[in-house]
Parts: sequence; structure tokens; C-alpha cells
Amino acid sequence: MKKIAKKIRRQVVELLYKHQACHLGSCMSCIEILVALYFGGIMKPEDKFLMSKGWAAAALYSILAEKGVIDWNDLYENYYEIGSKYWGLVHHTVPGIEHSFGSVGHGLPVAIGMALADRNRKVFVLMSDGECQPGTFYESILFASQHKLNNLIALIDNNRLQAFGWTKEVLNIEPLDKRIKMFDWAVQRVDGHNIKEIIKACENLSSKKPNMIICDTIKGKGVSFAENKLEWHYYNLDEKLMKRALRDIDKM
Amino acid sequence: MKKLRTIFVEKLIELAEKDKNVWLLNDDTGFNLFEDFEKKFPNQYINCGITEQTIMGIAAGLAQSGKKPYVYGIIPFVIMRCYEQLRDDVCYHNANVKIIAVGGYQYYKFLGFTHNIEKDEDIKVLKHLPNIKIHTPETSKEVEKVIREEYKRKGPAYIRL
Repeated sequence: MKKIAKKIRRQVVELLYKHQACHLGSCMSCIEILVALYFGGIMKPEDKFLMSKGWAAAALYSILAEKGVIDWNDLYENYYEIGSKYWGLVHHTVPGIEHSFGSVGHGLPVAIGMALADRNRKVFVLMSDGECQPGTFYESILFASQHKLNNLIALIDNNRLQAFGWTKEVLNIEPLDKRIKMFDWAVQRVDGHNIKEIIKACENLSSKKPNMIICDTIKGKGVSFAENKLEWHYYNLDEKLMKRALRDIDKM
Repeated sequence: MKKLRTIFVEKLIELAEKDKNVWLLNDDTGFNLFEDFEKKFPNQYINCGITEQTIMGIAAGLAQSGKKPYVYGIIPFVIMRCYEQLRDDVCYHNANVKIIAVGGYQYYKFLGFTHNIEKDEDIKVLKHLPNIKIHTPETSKEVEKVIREEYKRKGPAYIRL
């Protein structure tokens, strides 16, 4: 699975470079989480996955290509182009994606609806740390514990950087595990770049409470010049940096 | 004469008797209105609390899983407080969510600005959203007809009572 993660990272760099697209940092922080979910035997066919942090679309699209759900060549040619189904934010025009996301704070409520509709399946939703700020987050946290939605699993890609700076300096959400436990959720905290740890957490879910797995990650992980750098939420890769990024990823 | 909202609930009970996918969600409004529905269909009714933005997302998620959610509330709360969720999660996805909104000039006229709308303010706000059908029935018969027709149609609707 480490090999798959490396391949996905390379593909993200190729996509972002070819189409001069942004959000490198947000993609790189959630690769292991996506690989664990899609290649770790966690999700059954009836289970649902929602990508609330829709701006890491290049990462999810690459995963879907690796799964054979979409065609890599089609994605490589048409990603981030006006009129293409591969919009820059996760879009339901792409096979394998049920709901479009991009505006923060939308994924958790939709996941709750899907979890309520059928309590015999699991609903996984991947969110950013910035998404733990809007009102819908706290409304949803209250609702899910009130209705004991034990089939809901919120994964937080906690890369600690939001669009304008360190989350703790903009609007602190920590200690997120302690806070969310107080709302009667089952909370685990893992190294979000350790695929085994993520899988283990997904196999260790509470059967009584809604579940949160806080995945501590590094924004830009694997690309030396982008790690923990806010600006790589926005910048596009030039040829020199693209080559450097690929070399960095090969060394991982 | 029965209130239009009472007609709505009666019709919804008829639908729910035949179809367990009919769900009713409200935002802690609708005093004395939903007791019969809740008694008959406890698993198809949720008072979601005062969480309108989240309710719209929940309704979209339910609809995308084959449920038929009816969301009840006072006009400014069920379309304005949650406007972006309505736009992105419900209307853009053509989710089969029916919004039942009350207010419409008369019920809350003594309460002032927050609970009331200017004439057709709601329609001006909603008419640019994709896929949504807007209905403003004024008689019992019209309410019955629109509830019946919207039940058969897949897609978002706004029904002002």
C-alpha cells in the first residue's frame, strides 16, 4: 500500500503540473487516509465515502483511477478544464462520486443523512481541520450523538494549516479529541501518514457512538519544499519544482 | 376552516401509510402539528433541533439514499438561514427534498421582521436556484393537489403555506 501511496502522490503532481492547478498541500496530506480507505479492505460495497474536503480532488480522482473506476488517461487530459467532468473541486459528474463538495462544512450533514437512511452500512466522511470551525460542524456533532449514529465515521485530515495560517492561530480547534469526546463521540487519534494505524482505527470503531478518527498529518507531505507551507495551498508547480517534487516522492 | 398546514400533515400521513420512505423533519417549529405523524411513524419523524443548515444537508443525504424527506419550518429559517446548503446540497444535486414553509404574510404578522417576509421575498430568493419547483397554494384543494403531485415528482420543491 505504501507503493500505491507513492504512485498516487506522483499522479497528483503530474495532474497539478499539467493543468496548472492548486491545492498541492491539501492533496498530499490525505493520501494515506484515502489509500487506507480504498485499498485497506475497510469499505464494503454498501458503505459510503464522502470527500468533504473537496479541494483535494486530484488526490481522490487519482485514487479512483487506480481503482479502475475512471480512466487515468481521460483524467490526465481533462482534469481542471472548463466543461470537463473533472472539476477542480470534487464533483458528482465523476463516476464513483455521489456528492460534490468544495464549500467547507457540507460533508458531515450529508453523511449524517446517508447514515440515518441505512444504519446497516457505514458512512465515512473525510474532512479538513478547517472544517471543524463552521456552525454545521457543531450542529452535526450534536445531532450524531443524539441519534447514536454509530455507523458514521468522520476522518479529520488534521494538517493544522487552514487557508490563511496555522489553525491554532486563526481559530483554534484543539484539543479536538477531548472536545469531541465531551459531545459523546468515540474519538481516536492516529498518525495520518501511517496506513496501518489508520486501518487499525477503522477496525476499532465504537458500536455505540459516532466515530471520529483524527489523523494528524503534514500539509504537503512528501514534497520537501511544500511541507508545512501555507503557500502550497495556492501555488502552481513550474517545471523545475515539478521535477523536484517527483524526486522527493521517489525518495520517500 | 382547517389551516393549510393541517391539511399538509393529513396528506403526508396518507402518503407515509403507503410509503415508509416518506420522512418528516422539522426544526423545533410546528407546535401541536406533528403528534399524529410521530405516533404513527416514529421512525420517519425527526425534530432535528434548531439546526437548519445541517437539516438541509441531512435531507440531501437522505434523499440520495432513496428517502423522501419533507422539511418543515418557518420561511426565513428553512430557506434563508440554510440558503447555501439548499443551493449546493439540495438543488444542485436535484435531491428529492420537499420544503414546507409557513409564514406567508399572515401567521406571524404581529411578530415583526425576523419571522415575516416581504411580499414574495422568498420567491425572489429561490427562483434562481437550479431544479427547484416553487408552489404557493392558497386553498385546501390546492395544497392537496400540490402535495400529491410533488410526491410523484423527483426533485426539490418549495411549498409555501
